[in-house]
Amino acid sequence: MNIGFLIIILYLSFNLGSCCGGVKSRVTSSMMSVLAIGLAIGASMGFSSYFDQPYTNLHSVLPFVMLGLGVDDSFVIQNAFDQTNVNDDMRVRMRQAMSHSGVSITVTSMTDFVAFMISTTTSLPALASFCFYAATGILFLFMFQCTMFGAAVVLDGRRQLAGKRDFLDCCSVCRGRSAKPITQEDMKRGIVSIFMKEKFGRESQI
Amino acid sequence: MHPTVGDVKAAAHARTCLESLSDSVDSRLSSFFGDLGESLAIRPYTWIGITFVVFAGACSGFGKFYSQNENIWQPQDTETAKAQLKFTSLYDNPFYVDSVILVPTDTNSNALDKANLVSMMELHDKVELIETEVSVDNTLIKSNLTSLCYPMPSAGHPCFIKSILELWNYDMATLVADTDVQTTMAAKSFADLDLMLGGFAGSAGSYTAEALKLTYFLENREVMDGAKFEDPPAKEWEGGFLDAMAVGCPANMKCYYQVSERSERALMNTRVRATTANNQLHSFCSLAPPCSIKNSHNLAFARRRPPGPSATSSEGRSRATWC
Repeated sequence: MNIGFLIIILYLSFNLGSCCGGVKSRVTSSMMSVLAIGLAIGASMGFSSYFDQPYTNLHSVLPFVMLGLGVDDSFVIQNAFDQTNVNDDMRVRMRQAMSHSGVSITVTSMTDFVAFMISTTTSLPALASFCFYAATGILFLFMFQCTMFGAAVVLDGRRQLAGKRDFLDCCSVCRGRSAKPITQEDMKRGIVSIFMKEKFGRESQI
Repeated sequence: MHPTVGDVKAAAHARTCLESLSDSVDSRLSSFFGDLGESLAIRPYTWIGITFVVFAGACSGFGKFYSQNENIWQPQDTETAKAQLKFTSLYDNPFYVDSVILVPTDTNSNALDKANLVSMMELHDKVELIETEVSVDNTLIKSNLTSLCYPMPSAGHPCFIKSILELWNYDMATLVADTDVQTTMAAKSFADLDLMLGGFAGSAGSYTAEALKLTYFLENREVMDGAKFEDPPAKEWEGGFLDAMAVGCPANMKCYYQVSERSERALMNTRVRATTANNQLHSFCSLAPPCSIKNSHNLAFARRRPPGPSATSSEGRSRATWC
């Protein structure tokens, strides 16, 4: 499971921003996302225990389910934030980002939540318990991604505007290597975004 | 040509109720998350703190946390489950079945040769010597075969044991003194002997068999322990039984054994140890002897266990088949 978390952090780091340690890097933000997922897993276990739901061997796969769903939310929020104008005030940017991504996250999370809650009616105790844990986990994941990862996006955005490196910023300052604040020109779309819009989207229209 | 204001209004009037509802929900959600985003931008650390507070609140439920790995794949509240619950609430096994099958390593050897029977008796003597201790409610309980077995005195033994050794009253001296075991066996009917022997064939005076079976019946004394029924003394003794089989199997025999009270995990652990001891071990779930019980103990078969959800909790164990 530790390896799974490590892989997800690396995957997030590469996808949310560029590597490694520069202004555009988002390793810290990725770790905050994974932390939010970890908290959601813990919260779901504690909350489900309130309702006398047993923990079984099957539940050991729950973190992987939550990782997949949680990372998806992070991508949506971060991508919506990246679409905003860097020159705008942070409040305006976050209002725009969250109003766009929030609806998407809510719809997907509620769909997953309802699907898992319906599955709790199964007659198999292990599966019913697992689905209850997963359903509550999705709720906490939804909340924590909106609050904790949303806050991490704000802090990360401030850092980028201040021209600070992602991590070990003090070391680079000590060495006399300064970083430039991020500008609107730096906010290039990623390879996947370009492919989906320029290639896949265009061919679909044809 | 651009649409006029009138066209737009007409289009708006043409919207269905569902579309209006959808738009309303969408705009309200957007507004809510917009406000949240603005709040996040102003006070990010506060929101991180709120996250941890919610997390801590949810984690307080860990006080009721418990793990369960038995009966988690058995459907609940189905007709089959209800029928099974009813059956076990009215009639359940009055004992656990622990058995060992001995097969001569020499495949040409007759299992009924006196040397093999003596080896079997030696193994039985080792089982008789098994002593275990277990603490239940801060009370140390010492157990052995006699204290745990299903009490049904026969063939000179106070316990219900089924094997060919009953012909010699489970006494090594009697067996050793017997100069013609075939004649002794002739005292039993073919059908009776067939129940205790594997690959049994021949006629009186010239019986042959491929395997010998030694079966012990422990009395079911399960008590409710939390959410399930437990019988710690029997469980502990069966652990000793497994260990005895692993290290005490006669050199001229292969031992195949099973227990019914201990969990599969314990059996698997023992298998690992037994493999190290170069014994070939297997568990058989379908080779328990057909047996008939014809005494007053049948009356005790009516269930002592009250009906309830825990009545199914013991079904996760492997139970030997008998009739």
